[in-house]
Amino acid sequence: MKYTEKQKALECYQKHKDMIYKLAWAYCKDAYQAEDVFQEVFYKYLVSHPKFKTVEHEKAWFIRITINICKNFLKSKWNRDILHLEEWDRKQEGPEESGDAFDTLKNAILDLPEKYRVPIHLYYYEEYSVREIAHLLHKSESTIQTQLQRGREKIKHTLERSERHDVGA
Amino acid sequence: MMLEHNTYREAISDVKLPDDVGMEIMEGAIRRKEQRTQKLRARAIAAIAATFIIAFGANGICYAQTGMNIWDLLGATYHKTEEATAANLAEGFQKSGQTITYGNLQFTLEYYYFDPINCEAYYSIRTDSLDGTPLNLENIADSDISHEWTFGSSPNRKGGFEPGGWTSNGPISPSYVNDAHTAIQMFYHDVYTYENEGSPEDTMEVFLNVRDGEEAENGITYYKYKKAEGSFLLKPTGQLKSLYADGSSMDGCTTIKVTTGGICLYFHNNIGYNPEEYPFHLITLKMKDGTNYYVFDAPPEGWEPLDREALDASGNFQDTGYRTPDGEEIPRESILGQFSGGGGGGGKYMWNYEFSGTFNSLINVDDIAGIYVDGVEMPLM
Repeated sequence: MKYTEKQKALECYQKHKDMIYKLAWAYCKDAYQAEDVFQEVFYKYLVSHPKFKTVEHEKAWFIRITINICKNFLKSKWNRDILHLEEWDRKQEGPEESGDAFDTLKNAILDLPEKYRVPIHLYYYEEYSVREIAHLLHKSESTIQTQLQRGREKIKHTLERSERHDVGA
Repeated sequence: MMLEHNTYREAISDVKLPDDVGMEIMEGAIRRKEQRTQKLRARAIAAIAATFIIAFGANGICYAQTGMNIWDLLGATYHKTEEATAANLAEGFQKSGQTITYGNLQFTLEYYYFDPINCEAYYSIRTDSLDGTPLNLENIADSDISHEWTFGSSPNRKGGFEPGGWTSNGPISPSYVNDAHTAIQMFYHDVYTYENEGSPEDTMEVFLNVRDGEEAENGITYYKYKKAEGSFLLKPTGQLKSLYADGSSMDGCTTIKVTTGGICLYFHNNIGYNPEEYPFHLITLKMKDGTNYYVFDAPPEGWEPLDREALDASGNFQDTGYRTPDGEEIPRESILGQFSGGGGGGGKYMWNYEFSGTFNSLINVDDIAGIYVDGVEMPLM
């Protein structure tokens, strides 16, 4: 392998590791799977030698690759048939009773269907605009608007339910 | 609590990949890449041996004495080549003889064909060991003469092209070696696109990156490279036959161009950006004699590879034929090529797309009866 290839890969690793890992986690809802996705993303990077014209282009490439790999992982039979351990643990524990409010929000995010979870993540964590998310996910702006709106409502509902539960307790 | 940017960030702040785990994962990715490269090298060496027999067994020409002329080279490089088409292309080749020396290696640009109108270049570079020491073929085919290029004599254009960014590199193998392994001849075909619109460039300059030592880290060896002094200068030699189709029935597409050895699809800048999902999947060239050629980014759903081993070894979809869901067997020779990427310029997410691909066979564009994209006929222009 060329020295410069490795250097470039490591630079990209430093720049995008948080973004890639968090997006993979938000998509797969599983830390181990997020790690597998993470490796696949960088393998693709090393094999395909993409050339980027701008920092935005580079970031968009990594986001698209991460989403595509997550999709493929979740499509595989193994993943369709298993309940991930983290999800299992969360379901066993039931709703957060006296946990940190941020934990409650995190669980509310994870409970969202994937179609809401990914736009919510790109909007609130990566701070992309609706238009940019629409470009990244190949969907119309109105679809993204709707998904964000429904995602927000679901989270709000979960948070309110949790607050009521806490007050009742 | 409200869902806001800062609360979202805080909520997932503990979702982190520990650095030691991250580095371990990266090393895993690098190892996989290395293993893939080694597989490809092994396959390239096998291809060298096989082609050597085909190319020289029939006529008894000894490469060490005479070298391989461009006619032989084209015939041996492409899967399927109609004689008149290859002859037409071969006639346009220019003999060069320009050399670059680096240490014990002498690189010679033997023949080239440069068509700045259609943005294609074909050329053969021969590498000789000056002191007669056998070349390390495993390395040389893959790395020692990796190259990059730039275009034009105009200073404002020269730096404007990202080398290798939006090109399709044609069949660099099979390569041809002599008996003593002191010389290797490699054939290149580049289909490229210009970053800026305007008149075609008058020169193409090819630089060579040569290996300059290696460095080991965490048990993995990395080769270091430097640019050899000097360059090869290619001047226009001819213009390939080309055929255009109107692609406007496809969202964002303007035109489709097919030449003797490559294809390019041009898109507006409003198709969004997704490097892995092409706005098209299967190009079918229907020929007047009833045969079909196919170019794709990935085989259509349901196409089963006829040679799974070859596919797994190279990872290139074009290295096997396929059986369609209807039971039709498409031979490997009919898989003309695989798109290797697209590119363009513009602002954030506003990319002028140009997808290009090189062919495994040389075709006569006059024999094309129709161009189909995902089953839809594109009117010929």
